[in-house]
Amino acid sequence: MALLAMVSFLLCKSIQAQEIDSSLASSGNVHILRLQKSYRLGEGLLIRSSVGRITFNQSIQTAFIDSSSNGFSNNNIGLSYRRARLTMRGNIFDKNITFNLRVNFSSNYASATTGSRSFNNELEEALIQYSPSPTHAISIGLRADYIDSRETRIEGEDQDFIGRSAVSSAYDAVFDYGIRYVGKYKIGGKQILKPYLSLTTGESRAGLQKNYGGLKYGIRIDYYPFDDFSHGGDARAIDEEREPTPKLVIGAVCSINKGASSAAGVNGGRYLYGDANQNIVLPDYTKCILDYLFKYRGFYSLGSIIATSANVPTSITGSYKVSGAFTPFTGLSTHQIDSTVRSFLNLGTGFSFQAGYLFKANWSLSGRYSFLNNDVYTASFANNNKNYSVILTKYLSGNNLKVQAEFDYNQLQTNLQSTTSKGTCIGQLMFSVNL
Amino acid sequence: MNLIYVCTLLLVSTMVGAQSVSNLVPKDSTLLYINGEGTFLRLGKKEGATFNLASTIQSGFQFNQLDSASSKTNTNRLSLNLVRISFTASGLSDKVSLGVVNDFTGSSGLLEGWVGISVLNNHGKLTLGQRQTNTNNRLAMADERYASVMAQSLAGKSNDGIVYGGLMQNFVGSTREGGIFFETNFNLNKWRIYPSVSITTGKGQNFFTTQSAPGFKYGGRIDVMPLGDFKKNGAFVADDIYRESKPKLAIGIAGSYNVQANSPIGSDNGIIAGIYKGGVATDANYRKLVADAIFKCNGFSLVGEYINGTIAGKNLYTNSIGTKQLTTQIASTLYNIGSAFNVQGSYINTDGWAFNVRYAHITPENYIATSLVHNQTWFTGGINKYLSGNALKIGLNVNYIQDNNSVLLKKMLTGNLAIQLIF
Repeated sequence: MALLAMVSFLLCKSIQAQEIDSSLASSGNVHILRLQKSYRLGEGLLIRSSVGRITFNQSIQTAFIDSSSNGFSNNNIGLSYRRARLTMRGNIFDKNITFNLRVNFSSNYASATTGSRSFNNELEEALIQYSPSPTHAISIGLRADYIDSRETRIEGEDQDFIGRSAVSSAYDAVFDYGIRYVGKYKIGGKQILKPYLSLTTGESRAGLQKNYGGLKYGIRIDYYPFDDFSHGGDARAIDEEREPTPKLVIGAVCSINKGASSAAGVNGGRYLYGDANQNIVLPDYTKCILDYLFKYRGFYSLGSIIATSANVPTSITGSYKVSGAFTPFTGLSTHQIDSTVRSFLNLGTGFSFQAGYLFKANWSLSGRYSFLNNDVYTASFANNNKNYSVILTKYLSGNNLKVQAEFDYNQLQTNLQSTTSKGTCIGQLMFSVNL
Repeated sequence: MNLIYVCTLLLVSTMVGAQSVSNLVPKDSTLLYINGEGTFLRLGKKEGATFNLASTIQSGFQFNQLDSASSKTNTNRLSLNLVRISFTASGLSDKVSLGVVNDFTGSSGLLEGWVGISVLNNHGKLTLGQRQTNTNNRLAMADERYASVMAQSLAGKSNDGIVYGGLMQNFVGSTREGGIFFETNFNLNKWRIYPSVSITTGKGQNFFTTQSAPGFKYGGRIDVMPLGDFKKNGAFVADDIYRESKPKLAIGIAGSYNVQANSPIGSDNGIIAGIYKGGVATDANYRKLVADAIFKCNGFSLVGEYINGTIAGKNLYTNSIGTKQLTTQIASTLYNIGSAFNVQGSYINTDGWAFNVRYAHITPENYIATSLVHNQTWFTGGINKYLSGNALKIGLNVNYIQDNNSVLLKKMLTGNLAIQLIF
């Protein structure tokens, strides 16, 4: 709220601020700032110094949802903020050093874990990045991971669908803290290779309080056979730029989380195990992804295939409750302990495919199909293993002002279906503004 | 002598900078960014208002080796040490001020929230809210952004004590408290005097919830600067980051009396139970005495701090029928009682390289195996590099903590590498 007040004051006084004499060049540690004279929706409040800039963006997404698992005989209806994110980013005093800080006010501080393992969900990004050249960047901090599926590379406000696919939701941690490198290499003709190296906690935002187990090591290689997308279009789902020539990126990702302490790396510290001496021992979690994004003349298609596996140490003899108490796996065989540990990890495969077309009247129509295939011993994340979605969007100012209506059908696995329920139908309506 | 004072100095110093610019072009508003202090908006020629927005990100890596029972355990941690958004404002010719500090590392979002009113013709300030309290040791009154030892703090608290060292870890806990604060300042010949008093909850950073015991904490502090004011908030910053061109000295004494403190350091809420007086559940009163000094000149800085924590209370028992008296031995298992001193020195050169060393020793008043305060020795050595003013700081430090009372003679070696950006 304080920031909003600040923004309001800045906006109210923009004219006066712009009157500051431009001949006053910044000197030493004091920089004269200027407000950008013009404004377009989505640009945020932009302040410039002689060296760089800082922007303040606020997005709000309000949603209505109606779901039913028995043919709308009984409905669950809700209204909610889906996102309300304040983002500050810039490079105000050194063009090679940028920062990014983002808070989502629609979250709250209640976490899935309690006590010493609690963490807050509001902070989504806090990053310091050093770019020695435009094609190389090293960063340290919290941000959406490069080594998740391509859907997570797209900001929530720029997604085509209201929520991420079932496959991404099952296997992607989204946010994580660590050190990352991003490069860009021309490899002949218009071909581009972008490698991403990642060394993170593997515990998402929960790792901000305390790290459990080892680190998560990951690599992504993105291959662009037809040059870069226009205006950073690979970071948005819909083909707003209406690419005049086909654009494609194909990505391959592999990561290993040495010592995973949650189902998919979302809330580290949730599941802890110990050996005979009650030293913490954790399974290793491996994830591999192939994904792509294609755009051409208003049409886009996005897809991902994900496979995960785990290596469970044989030295595990018990688990820690959230309270911190150690409970031995009394009477369980090695195989039973192995399957018990796996039952708290999202293990299996899945693929998601989505495509859509943006009409010239700024209407878009898209569809998505996701399929989850769980291992025999795994957490129960894939009860609804076939997921269908259709969405109609009216863009009033690109992704910065849009209205969306989505219908989803999440079908239960055959052996879980009953005479009264074969899946869940969901209707959603969302209004998005990005200031 | 606290955040208000620090912020006021920041604002004043900033306005001096802004005024030097404004003198060239007299406009009725300025919008400035100052490296390490954030964005400042000043509005109006007369009873103008000044707004400051400063955000901080500190990322860190920690290596930790615990040597206990002839067994060494190595752990490491990647973490965000500090994530803050701070908004402060003053208006009506500085007659009214307010501050909101959000911290996103802990499990509660609001670290500070206060409103201040200028009184006594601008010679005094009355503040209500939660902010850095005035009754702690000198370096516990500086914002964590200015700490010379960079390490993790969660919602303004340091779990491992590395940021502030042994004094903080054993006798301070949280640096913020909710309550009402009054501070003033005046000259005595060439001396600058800063007295302040406060009445706080005595329950630490719990101003946003109901406190479970009726007693308040009463405290005061006086700082004397015989060689005049320090630059900005330099009297409460360990390194001489503003490079005092002339010798500067500050000597401070603080004391507090926490009535019915129900946590070991009087910095939390509802931790201690099982003390009775006349068959009625109660708590002991927690007293704290602080003496400290800081000297700075041309990049050199020397800080000395002393804390003594004791409890007070008559006819206190550990059972409701009043047969088991609360002895000092038993009290030492409930409260952090004892004393500690901290000495640290640093030098920062004109290129922004800073070298620091710190030594602290903690002595319990009484010791039994379950006492909270142990006889400990803390050593720290570190290097910081300040860039672009104080906007960017990179730090490396090594800490050695020896627990002399532990049966296992526990030793801990901790190294931190951190980078901090203020924008």
